[in-house]
Amino acid sequence: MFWFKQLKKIYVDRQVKNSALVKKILDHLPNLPVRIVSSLEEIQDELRLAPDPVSESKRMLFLTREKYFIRPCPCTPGCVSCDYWTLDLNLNCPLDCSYCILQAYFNHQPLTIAVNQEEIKKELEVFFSRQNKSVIRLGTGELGDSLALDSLTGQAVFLAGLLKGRKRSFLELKTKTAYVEPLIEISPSENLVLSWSLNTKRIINSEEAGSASLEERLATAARAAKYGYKVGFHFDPIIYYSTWEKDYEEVIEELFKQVPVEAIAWVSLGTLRFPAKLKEIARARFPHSLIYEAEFIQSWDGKFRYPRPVRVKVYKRIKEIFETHNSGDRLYLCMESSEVWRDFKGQNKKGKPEASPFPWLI
Amino acid sequence: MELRRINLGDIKLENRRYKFTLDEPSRKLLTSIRESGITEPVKVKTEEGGYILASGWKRVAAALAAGLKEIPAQIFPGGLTDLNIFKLVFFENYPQEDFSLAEKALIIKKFLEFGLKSEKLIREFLPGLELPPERQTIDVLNRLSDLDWALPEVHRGRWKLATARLFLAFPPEGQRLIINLAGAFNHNQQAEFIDLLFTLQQRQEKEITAILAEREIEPLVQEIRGKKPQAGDRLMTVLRERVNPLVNQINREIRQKIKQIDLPEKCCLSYDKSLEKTFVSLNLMAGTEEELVAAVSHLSNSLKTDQWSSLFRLLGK
Ligand code: SF4
Repeated sequence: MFWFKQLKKIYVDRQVKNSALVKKILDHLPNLPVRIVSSLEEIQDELRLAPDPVSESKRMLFLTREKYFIRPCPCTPGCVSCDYWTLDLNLNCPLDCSYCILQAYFNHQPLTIAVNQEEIKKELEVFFSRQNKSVIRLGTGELGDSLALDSLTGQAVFLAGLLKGRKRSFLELKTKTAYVEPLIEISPSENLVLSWSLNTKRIINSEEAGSASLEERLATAARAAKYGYKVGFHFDPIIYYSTWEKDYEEVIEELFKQVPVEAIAWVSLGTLRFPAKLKEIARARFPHSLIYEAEFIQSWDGKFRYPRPVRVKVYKRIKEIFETHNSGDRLYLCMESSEVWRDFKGQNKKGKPEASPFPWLI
Repeated sequence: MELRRINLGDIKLENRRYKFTLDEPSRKLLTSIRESGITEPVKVKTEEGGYILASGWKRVAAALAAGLKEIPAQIFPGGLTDLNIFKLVFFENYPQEDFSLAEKALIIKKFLEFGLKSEKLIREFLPGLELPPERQTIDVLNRLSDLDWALPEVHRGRWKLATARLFLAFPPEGQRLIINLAGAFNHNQQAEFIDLLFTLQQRQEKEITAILAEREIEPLVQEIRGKKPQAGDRLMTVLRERVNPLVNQINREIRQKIKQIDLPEKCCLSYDKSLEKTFVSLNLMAGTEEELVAAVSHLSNSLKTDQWSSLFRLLGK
């Protein structure tokens, strides 16, 4: 994989130096210098000295253990939450998207893999025993791409095994890669949703460094669907620029040429949003990117967003295109206010918002 | 340290090796020194038959203004390195001063010039200066400190690190222009001014010299140069409209609509100018029941016109 080449060093947490997964990963990357460390701070001290700590953090691999893996997705205050749980086995991501919130979220965090994945079993048992919702959605793609490190860790197959048989509990693996090989070798679980973040070719080329092309993503999604997996798509962040309408339409048309509607579990839509801190970092790291120079308002949660009329226009148009493929019911909005949801979903005859805005509840 | 009275004329003020503070002496200090001289000795180092001032720049400026000939000074013993002296001067000021970013930039530059390793600076000094302890901070502030012509404005405007970082992304000519105009804006406006210019520069793929020479903008730039009152505010309004045309346009229409609504006296209508929320809020003041009844009936009469519905249409646009 491309990003192996950019790795400069491996750090192994003293506590896990004898772990089988550590050995497997080190065997996989035999030519890299390895340093045993006692704490994350030792690596952070090095990262602080780098001219661009975010880029440097993507070149340092840290093998360690985590205490907890499952957390409720923080969403954002004041937004309609979609009740998602995150399962974080890795922190940080080898890809380098100009809009990635992790640039501002992490404070000198190397590419981190929790090698004590066996311990997640117990946590999952407790987690499921406490859930009373009819549908539970968990995903690993919150703090990094779900599959970018998979050829090293084998997490996807491992997690698929843990979720097997748990009907109505969906595990989502979210990616911008085209790497699903190990999952195509096992029998597909019906509660494993493989998801791709999609964007226009122009945005993929200019803003998503290291990711697979649109063609590769869609071809891989089609392959996964054909193999029997449910697939999901995330149009997030949608970028508003002069030819957005034509370009996103092209992506959606391409998507439906390759993937049957029946295989699609859900599709999320979310326009670009970011805190001020991210704009500061990304403007310096991506001086040619124009995505931070559009018209924004600072919204209720302090984040910058396109003005509501723009967001509503974009969502409605994308919904129209999906409706021409009889798949409007797969759509939901990510991190949006109730005002925007109302405009997006419309009103039912009694003037109440439509019930069950989330496709997995239908 | 030896305490001595020294001739003000023996201080080589052009040697600013240890100077990192940018404030001028306050009026109170000027008065106090004029009335009773310097009570707290300044600190100097002897060099080539004269003195190099290490700390006490404001006191010396005030003494010069008061026409004093002699002042008390503590003389650093020979053998102290520049780094030793600068550390002493820095820590003397550290507890009392809330350093501006421009001063912090000078502190960093001088520490590096005097041979402090950047690793040590990052670990031991940046946290105390309330700056992110990383090399990037040093890089930004070191570059900023090279622009000594910009530092007084950076100091006056109490810039934040993010503003300095963005400012440094402009070409030199743009930086000069920004500093020339910055005096027309208050602290918060300066950061916004730079941000707006950056956006326009990127969006229009034009240098800011060209943007500021545009027909609508150039007269305002001239007004600022001519020190016309409120010229900065007017330029800011135009730049905001350029960067946020849609929100500004809708807000203008809403304001117009609100003016047309016949509201009761002592009733004030507000709404979310970011346009995220689609409701209005009414603040109605009444001192008696009769006043309240009159205001409500006034309001319900005004509801019979279609001005309200067009206002809500605009808000929900
Ligand atoms: S793939 Fe996701 S996590 Fe990785 S850099 Fe891009 S946005 Fe960030």
